[in-house]
Amino acid sequence: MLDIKGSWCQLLTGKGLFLGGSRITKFSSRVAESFNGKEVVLTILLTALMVSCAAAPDRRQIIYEPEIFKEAPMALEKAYSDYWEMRAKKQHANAYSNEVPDFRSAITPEQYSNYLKLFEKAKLAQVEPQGVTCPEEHICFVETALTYILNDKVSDVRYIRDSWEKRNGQWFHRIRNPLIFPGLDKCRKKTEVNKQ
Amino acid sequence: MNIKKLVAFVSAIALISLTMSSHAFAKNADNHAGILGMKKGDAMVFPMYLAADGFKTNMVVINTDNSHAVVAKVVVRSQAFSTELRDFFIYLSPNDVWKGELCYANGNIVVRSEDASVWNPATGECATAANPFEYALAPVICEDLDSLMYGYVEVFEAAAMNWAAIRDTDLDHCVNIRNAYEDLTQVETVNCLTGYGEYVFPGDYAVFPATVIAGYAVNDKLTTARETFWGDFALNSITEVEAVLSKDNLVFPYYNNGRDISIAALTFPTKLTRVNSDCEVMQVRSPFFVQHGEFGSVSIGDELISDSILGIKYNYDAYDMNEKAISECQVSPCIKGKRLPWEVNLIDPANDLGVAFEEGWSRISFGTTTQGADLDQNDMSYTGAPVIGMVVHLTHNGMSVDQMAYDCGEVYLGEIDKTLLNCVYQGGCRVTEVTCPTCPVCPVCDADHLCLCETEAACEAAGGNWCDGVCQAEECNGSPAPTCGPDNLDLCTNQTACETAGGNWCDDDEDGVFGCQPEECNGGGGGLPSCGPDNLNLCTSETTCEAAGGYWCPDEVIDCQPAACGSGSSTTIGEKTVTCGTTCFGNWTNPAFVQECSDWQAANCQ
Repeated sequence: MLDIKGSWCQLLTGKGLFLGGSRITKFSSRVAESFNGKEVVLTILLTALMVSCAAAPDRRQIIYEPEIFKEAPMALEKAYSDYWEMRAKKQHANAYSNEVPDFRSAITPEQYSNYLKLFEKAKLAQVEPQGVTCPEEHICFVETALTYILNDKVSDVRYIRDSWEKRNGQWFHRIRNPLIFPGLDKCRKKTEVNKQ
Repeated sequence: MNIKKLVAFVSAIALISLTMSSHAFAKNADNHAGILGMKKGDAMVFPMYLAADGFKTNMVVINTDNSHAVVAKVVVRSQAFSTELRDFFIYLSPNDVWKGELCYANGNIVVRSEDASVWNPATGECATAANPFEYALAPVICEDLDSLMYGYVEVFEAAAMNWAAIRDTDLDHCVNIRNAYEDLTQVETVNCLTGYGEYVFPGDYAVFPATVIAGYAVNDKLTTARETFWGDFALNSITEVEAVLSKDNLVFPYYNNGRDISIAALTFPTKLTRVNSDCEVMQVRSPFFVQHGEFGSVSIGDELISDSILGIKYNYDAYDMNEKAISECQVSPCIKGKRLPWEVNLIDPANDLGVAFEEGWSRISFGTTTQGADLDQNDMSYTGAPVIGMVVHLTHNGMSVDQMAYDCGEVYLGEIDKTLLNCVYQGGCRVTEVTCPTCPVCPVCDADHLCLCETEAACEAAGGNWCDGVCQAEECNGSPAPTCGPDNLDLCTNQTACETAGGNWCDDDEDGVFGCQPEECNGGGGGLPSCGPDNLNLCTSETTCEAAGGYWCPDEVIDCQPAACGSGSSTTIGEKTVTCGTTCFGNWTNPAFVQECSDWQAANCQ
């Protein structure tokens, strides 16, 4: 997997690969917007990222801008990071255990694995969280850009609203695909009753 | 379109054709066969789009005509209540294709296209990869229940224009066609559109066909300023559109084991619900739902969101691979239990139908007949439900999509005789082609279609009886039509029947025309005796006997007696009762009995 930390390090250290200059421009713009144009913050962040490159340049993990999760509930950041690392490494069983309990009670690990395989004909190269919103204390959405590579080329960048729910103090991921998993796509399940 | 997609597309069409080929039917009076399935037409429905969790949906619209440019209006509608989420036009030159997608981007679900067949209002030019057409879908009205993540898409052909006549080589095609459409005052359409969709996930996709309707015939200029509904600005009413989509049942295979799953998608594109922000249903346009829908409530968790969701009930059977069956009930028709509340409904056989089999097939049935009218306000009706069925399989081999098999609903003209309109069906389910006046088999008022006679004169001319505004073969009092008999001698048409009924077969006028009459022949009846107080023995029915003051005694030799039956002196001769009123002559074939009768009367009667 081409992890974002590696790619940023390569970019920042002049080894430019992958998405190139336009990528960093886009990222810079987004970060600047999120901080009301305070360019100084961007400078600090980029500097911090360069420092972190030296600390763990070869470690394969999903890395993102921590500020994205600054306002997010505790532990969501780690849950998100762990989950997407499992997805990138095709660790289906581990990822399955991080899905919400009601999903796991309805969908078997094999069915879940079949679903994840749909996404694995292309290689998940980069996971980029872009913002976090939490409409309720126990529900958060992480806007995420997923970059896929097929035949050594970027085949697609998919944007998703990644859903997370907190149960008994632990954050769980929720797959929201109403076509494949109908009835399991809502944070709260709809119940229909015929009128008497 | 690359080779792989072309192969997938052609394969999908071939598979559908093979699947549907057993449903060939005679579509007109000349028994011209047609094959259900994918066709070319002038309106389309993409029954479900999906833009969630990394999936996006591509829509492809093809103009198969090589001489007409086509303008089509694309309308994206929401899953639960058909809320219009975005509408726009596409401009197709001859043999052109438009491709667009519904996907999640920049925090919104958007409709997006880089195809030059769509005009980009943001740039004032045809769309390009650098300047794509991209607009976020409008929000749904009922946020708690509706969804932007999935829904359905309509395509209405707005106009077909002669390309040679409008072609301006100085303009991009989409601008050229757009300008020509803006100048149009009268629209015409051609059945030349077809299309398909793709559920796209990273590295792969699954193809599904659009449902194509032929002969819908938009006849007024469509705009984006005015919402387009089925049945508006076209030569087909919404009932006619429902009739073309009507299906008595839908059949789909399913997997339901620990590894493979199947999901059925049922879309009702004509339902067109109007809902308010409190999620209360205010209106549905569909005659089917108006007549058969049932209200229900929907809760999320413990919170009641709405108690006015109009759904439709259905019955189902599910079978395993060894013909074991489960069913909602075992007696047909059986419509109970399950309910489809939304415009796009997703059914998981395991959780929603309670199917315990690991693999098999299921049938969803609708036992309804819907009354409506065509555009000319002629009564029409159809059986079944106006539904599009699709099934999605997720297996260890990936994802696949297939149309469901089905039995077409039956479409009828008229509420009374339900005469099948063989001549006007076209497309998947025998829809009217809007030109019924030219239909060679449309029934009219005649002896075989008395129920179609609308006036007394027409009814009687057809040989019927006009009873309380209805023309019928039976007499108005409900009794069978009268026939030759003692009370209806005038209905006897030959001598045998006449005489059997007790009449006389005469030609008193000597005009060569014989008739049956109660009077003796010759003299026109003048001076000859007839049933009356003085000639009770000539009365041949209870009515005339009693009218003459007699008593009707059918067990006696003379049926009409001057005294009460069985009263006075009597005897039995040759198994017949003889009284003083009995006329002895002619009542026995044995002359001895006649003589015995006369002797008895001479001895016993004054």
